[in-house]
Amino acid sequence: MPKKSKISLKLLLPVLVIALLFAVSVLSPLLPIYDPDKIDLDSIKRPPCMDHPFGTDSKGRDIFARVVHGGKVSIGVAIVAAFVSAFIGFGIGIASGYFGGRLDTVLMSVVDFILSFPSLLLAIAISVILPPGIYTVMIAISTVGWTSFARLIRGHVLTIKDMPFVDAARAMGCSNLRIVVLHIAPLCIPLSLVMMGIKLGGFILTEATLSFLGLGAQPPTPTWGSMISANRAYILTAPWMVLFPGLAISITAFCFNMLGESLKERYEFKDN
Amino acid sequence: MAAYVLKRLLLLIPLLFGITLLAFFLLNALPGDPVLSLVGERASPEVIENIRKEIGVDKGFIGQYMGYLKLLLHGDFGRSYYTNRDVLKDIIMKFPNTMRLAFAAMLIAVPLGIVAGFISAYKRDRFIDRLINVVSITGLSIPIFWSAIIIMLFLSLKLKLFPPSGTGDIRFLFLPAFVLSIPAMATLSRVTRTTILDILKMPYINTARAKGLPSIKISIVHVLKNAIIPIVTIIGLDFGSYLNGAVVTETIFGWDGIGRFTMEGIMKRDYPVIMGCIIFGTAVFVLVNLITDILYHYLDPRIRLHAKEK
Repeated sequence: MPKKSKISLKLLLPVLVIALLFAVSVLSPLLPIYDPDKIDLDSIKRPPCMDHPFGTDSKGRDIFARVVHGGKVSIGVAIVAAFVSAFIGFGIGIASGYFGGRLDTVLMSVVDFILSFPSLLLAIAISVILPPGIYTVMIAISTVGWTSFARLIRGHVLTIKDMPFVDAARAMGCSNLRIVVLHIAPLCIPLSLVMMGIKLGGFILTEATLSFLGLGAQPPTPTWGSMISANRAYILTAPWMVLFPGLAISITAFCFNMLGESLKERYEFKDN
Repeated sequence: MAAYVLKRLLLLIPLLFGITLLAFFLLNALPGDPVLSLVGERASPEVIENIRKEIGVDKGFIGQYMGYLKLLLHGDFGRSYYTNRDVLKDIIMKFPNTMRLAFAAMLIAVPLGIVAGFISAYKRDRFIDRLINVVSITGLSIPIFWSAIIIMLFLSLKLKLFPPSGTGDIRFLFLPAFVLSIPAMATLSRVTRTTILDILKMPYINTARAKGLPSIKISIVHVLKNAIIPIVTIIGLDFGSYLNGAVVTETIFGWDGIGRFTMEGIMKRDYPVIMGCIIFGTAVFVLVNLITDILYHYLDPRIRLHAKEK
C-alpha cells in the first residue's frame, strides 16, 4: 500500500459525520429526548413540530427518539458484522496464502461456493433458519461478507511471504506460527481496515433490508428498516413516519460509501 | 467450448448439493415431523404415508437426505402450507413476470449507466464528473425498499401517473423497473468510468490518435469495445440477482414474481416455498454467470474459456 501523509477533506468529512451519528446513537439513553418505546395515545400521528421534530407514529411514539435509538442497532450491527467478517477473512486469507497447497484449494473453494449464491438471498436464507434478532443479522452478513476479506488478504500474503524479511525470519529458525503472527499478520491489518471501510456502506443496507423484511431485531426495539416496514401503511396520511428513518439509512450509507470511495482512491483499490 | 460448458454444468451439482443440504437442515431444525413440514398439515394420510416411505424416515439422517434428494430430482419441491399448491409449478408460472421486470430494469440501467460512465470518464474531475459521482454514490446508498415507497407515494398516489401496484402491462412495469434499475445504473456508471480511464492510458489509444482517427471512432472502436468485459460482468451479476427475485421491489409494487413469492414464504414461514425459491434462485444465478462467462469468449476472443479455470 502506498503511503500518503495528507488526509484529504473527502476522507475526513465522512469520518466526522459517521463519528457524530454513532456518538449520538450510542449516547442516546443519556440524551434529553423522548423514550423511544413510550406509547402516548394522546399524540398519535403528529406531523413534525417543535415538540416532535420528526413527528410521531401510530402509537404516539416520538420518531426522532426512535431514529436516534435505531441508529444504535443499525450502525452497531453493521460495524460488528464488519469486524467479524474482517476477523474470519483475515484468518482464512492468511492461512490460505501462507500455507498454500491443498489447504488453499479447499479454502478458496469455500469462498467460490459462497460467492456463487446471490448474496441477499443467502443472507435471507440464513436469517430464516436462525431465530430472528440482531445476532442472526450479524451472522448472516458476516457469512456472506468474509469472503472478500479472505481473497484480499490471501493475495496480499502471497506477495509478502517471499520477501527477504520472511526468509530472514525463517533462517533464524522462527516457527511458522511466529512468522505468521509477528511478521505477516501485522502487515495485513491496515489492508483489512481499509476493506472494512469499503464494505460498511453495503453492510448498513443489508442490515436495513433484513430488518425491513422482519428478520432483524424484533419489536419493540427500533431499527431503521423495521420502522419503515411498520409504518408503510400510513404513507399517504403520515409520510414522515417513513421519510425520516429512510433518510437516516441513506445518509449513513452515503457517508460510509463516500468513506469507502475515498479509501479506494487513496489506496488504489480496483472496483470489485 | 462444449467441454467447458459441460464442466461448468457439472460444477453446478456440488453447489446444488450444498444448497439442498442447507434446505434439509432447515427442515430438520424445525420442530415437528419433517414429512408434515414438507407436505403440510392438510395433505391426505395416503400422501403423507407415501412420502414417509419415499423419504425413509427410518433410514437415519443420510438416508433421509437421499430420499429428499430423490423427491427433488422428481421435480417435487413440496406444496405450500397455505395454498397447498405445487411449489415448482408456482415458481415456473411466476418466473416470466420476474424475467420481464429484470429485462425492463436492465433496459433502463444499461444505456443510462454506460452513457453516464462515459461522460464521467471523458470529463474527468470536471463538475459533471463530480456530479455523476455523487449521484451514483447516492444511488448506491438509498435502500430500494425506501426509494420504492417514496417514488410510489409521489408518482402514483399523489400525481396518479402510474398505478401504485399490481402485475400487468408497461404502466405497471415502469415504476418497479425504474426503482430496480437505480443501483445497477450507479454501479455500471462507476465501473464504466474506471474502466475507460484505464483504457485511455493505453498505448493503442495514443496510436489511434496519432493516426488521426476521429475521436468518435476511437471512443466506439477502441474504447467501448475494450471496456465491454467489465461492463458485461456487472450486467450479468445484477441480472442474475434480479432473476431470482427482486424480493423487496416485487413485494412493494405487488409484482407477481419469484421475489414476492419468496417474501410471502418468509413472512408466513412457508418452508417449502422458501426452499423452492432458494434452490431455484441459486440455479438461475449460476446459469446466468455461466452464460456471462461464455459471452466473454465471444466479446473478447483473447479470453480462452478453458484457461479461465485457473
